[in-house]
Order: sequence, then C-alpha cells, then structure tokens
Amino acid sequence: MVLSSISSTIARAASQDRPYEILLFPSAHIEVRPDADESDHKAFELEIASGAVYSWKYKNFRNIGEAYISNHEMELERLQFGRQFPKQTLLWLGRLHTPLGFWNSEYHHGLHLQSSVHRPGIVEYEDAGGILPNHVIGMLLRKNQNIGSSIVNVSFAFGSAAKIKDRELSSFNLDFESGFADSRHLTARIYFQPDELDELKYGIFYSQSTIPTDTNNLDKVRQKIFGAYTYQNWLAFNLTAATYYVNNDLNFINKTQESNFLSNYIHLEYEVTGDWMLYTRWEFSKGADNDAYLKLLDHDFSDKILGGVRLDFTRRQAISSEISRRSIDDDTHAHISIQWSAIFP
Amino acid sequence: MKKKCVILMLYCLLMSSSILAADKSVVLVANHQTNIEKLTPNDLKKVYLGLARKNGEVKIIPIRNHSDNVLHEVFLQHVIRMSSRYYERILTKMTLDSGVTRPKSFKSHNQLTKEIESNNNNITYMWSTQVENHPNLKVIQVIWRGESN
Repeated sequence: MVLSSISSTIARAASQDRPYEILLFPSAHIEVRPDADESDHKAFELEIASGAVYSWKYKNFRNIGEAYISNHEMELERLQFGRQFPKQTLLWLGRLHTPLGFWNSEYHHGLHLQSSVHRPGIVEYEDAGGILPNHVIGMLLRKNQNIGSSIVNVSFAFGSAAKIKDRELSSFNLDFESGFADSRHLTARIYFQPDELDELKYGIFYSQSTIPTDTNNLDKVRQKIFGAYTYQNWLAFNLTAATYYVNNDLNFINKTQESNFLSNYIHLEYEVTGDWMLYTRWEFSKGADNDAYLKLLDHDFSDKILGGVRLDFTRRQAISSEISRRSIDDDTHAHISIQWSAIFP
Repeated sequence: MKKKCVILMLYCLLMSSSILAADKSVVLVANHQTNIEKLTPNDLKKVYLGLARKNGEVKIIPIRNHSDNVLHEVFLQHVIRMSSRYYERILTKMTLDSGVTRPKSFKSHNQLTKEIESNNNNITYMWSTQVENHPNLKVIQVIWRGESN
C-alpha cells in the first residue's frame, strides 16, 4: 500500500510537463544455499532493497542521482552532472558507472532490467565481492557517431576508482574516505551497433587502474583489462557474450609479481511469451584458481552455471527464480534464488 | 525485435476480439493546428525510441497511449516492433544513461486528448473511431489498418 501510494504520487509528478524523471527499483531477494558450510556462507539470506533514481534536464545540462538502500547497506550510487554538446557528445562529472563492458552499463543497479537474479561474477559490485572497479569518481565522455543507419559509440572514463581494504575491493564513495590518493582509473570502450533501431551490438574495451592496498608489503596493484562483448537477438532469443582478460602487476616493496586470468560469460534468454522468459548463463575462467590478485581478496571468484525463469506478471513487476552451481577449485555449491523486482512508475 | 511468440500471441488476441472491424484502424494523431507531416515508419520508431525529436524543423513530442491495452500492443507490434518488456527497458535505460525523460504516458483517454490539444508538437496514437468525435484532433497518418473478417 505504501509502495502503491508512493508510486501514484511519483506517477502524478511524472505526468506533468517537467524535465525530470523519478524512478524506484524496489526488490526482495531470497538466497538459499542447501550445502553451505556455515563457517563461510550463510545457508539463508534475505535482502530487501530499493534503488531510487532521479534525472533532471535543463537546456543542455543534465543531472542524475541514484541511491541504493537495503537491509544490508545504504549507498549514494551515482551523483553526476553533465553537459550535452553538439554532435551527440555528452560529458559527465561526478560518481559514475564505468563503461566496463556490456552488463555494467546496460543494467547496473536496475535489477528489474536484467533477466537474471545475479550479475555475472566478473562485473559484480565491489561491495558484494566484485573483483574489478565498476564505479569511478571523475569524468565520463560519451559520443555517438551515426554512419548511415549504424552507430559507433565511444565512451571514455577517467578518475579515481578503488582500493583494496580489509581484503575487499572498496570503491571510492562520496564520503571521500582517505586512501584513494594514489587510485587511478581509465576505461575506454567502443561499440558498434549495425542498426540504430535494433539492439545488436559489438564492443571492445580497455581499462587500466592503479589500486592502492592496505596489504602488508604490497603497495599497489597495477591492473589492465582487455575485453570484448556482443549482444545479439534473433527470433525470441537474446544472447550476451563477453570476455575479460585481466593482467595485474602486484607491486610489493621489494618485488613485482605478475598475474593473469581470463573470464568469460555467455548469457542466453528465450522469450517464451511476452511475460515468460527462460534464461541460462555459463561463466567460466582460465587461470583464476591460483591467481595472486584474486588471492588478495576474501570473496570467492567461481565458475558458474545457472538457469532461471522470469515472469513479468504486470508491466512493472517481475518474479524470477534461479538455480546455480558454483565451482571453486574442486568444490561445488548450489544456490537457489527467488527475487521480486519492480520499477515504478 | 522479431519475437515470433509475442507476435503470434498478439495475432491470436487480435483475431479473437471484435476490434477487427473493417473500418478499425490505428492512427497517428496531433492537434489540428500542427505542422507535423507524415512520418516514415523508421522515423516514427525513432521518435518513440527517443532517437529523433524533429520532423524537418518541427519539434515532435511523443506521448504513449496506455488507455487501451490492445491499442498499445498493436502500436508496439507495428511501429516499435518490440515486446513491451524490451521497449520499456530501452526507455528506462535512456533515462538512467543520459538523463532524458521517457515519453509521457496516459491511462485516461480524456487526459490524453487534452494533452494533445494543449501543444501543437504533441503526437500520439489512437483508434480511428476515437478521433471522429474530436474536431481539435488531426490524423497525420494511418499506422495500422484492421483487415476485414
């Protein structure tokens, strides 16, 4: 009832001729791990959350703010100020999402927008066990170039992104916590869309980061990421595939250690009807098992295979159920997830 | 998107309803004083995807008509050529990415009509029969024509 009341208030505001938009992304998520070792993982978890986004536009100026609140955390996800320039060029300043591949830009905290309950592990949020920086405080430049009916999009992000603290990747938040002075981040991405009226995409990206750490004797990690992705659709099938090659130089006080691994995912969706969708995803890596960079972090980075079903039972609400099997070294664990997600208005 | 299943379902829905009267069409509508001229199917799709906002030198403000589910589905099938879920996702992503607002939508036919009448740049889609009683509305073009049973 509260949600309905908030939603109708926002809907009334949105129906006026105003240059802003307010969106709510509430969700409730149950995670069950039948074979969980209680010392490492909880057997049952419940998360109730909501993202709230506002966007505002005045002439060529833009502003977007995004907050995320759950029973586990509260975070100002994004606060960005932009200016639209001629020739489809948009410059943003503030706390932003890095254009690291497809998933991070396409869905990010809009859980309702993605079909699966979980994000691919390689683009997991930093504070949820993620291993790559996907937020930056700095600038983001985006440009679209039309070539006939095709589009080439170039994105370039630069700023401070992450550090390793208490064996976790910690992103630079707007509380301006110390320890990020030496943090540097750059991501460049180019994608090609053969038809601007279709979503088919081919993209490549490169990212370079300097990640300070609080680990003994380890000053910083210099990280380079090379990647490529595609999004395809034909008939009732949608396919997303991406590959990430991650190269790290661990700068210890008296030596440098190099580590490399490759991570890939293939995500396939089948739209059974306009309301029902089946999906499956395969996440697999090479060289990640004993990777020196991954060993700096507490969270497990696992190969994963999952399958799920999503029902959009109204135009704004969906329920998804997903089962996954995760493999870490020689151990496998099952996860069962059920999620309600929505977007209002 | 060529979502065969969706299209098949919509087709069944349309076939089973009485809306397929020979004179039932979906039309693109604006204020009777508008300077907006006929749009190509691709231009109309671009307007509703937020990729274009002009017809020559005339600004276009698209408005979604949610007063009738079948009408909206016909519009999605014949103009946008995407499932509702996909279309909403693209519009939402546009707001999240670029800070631009989604096209307004109305569930009330009366409010929608008032909105169209209030600005020469507004456009929307309606059943042709709904326009007949509104002298202040102008049909720009037919975007779907029902076939006779």
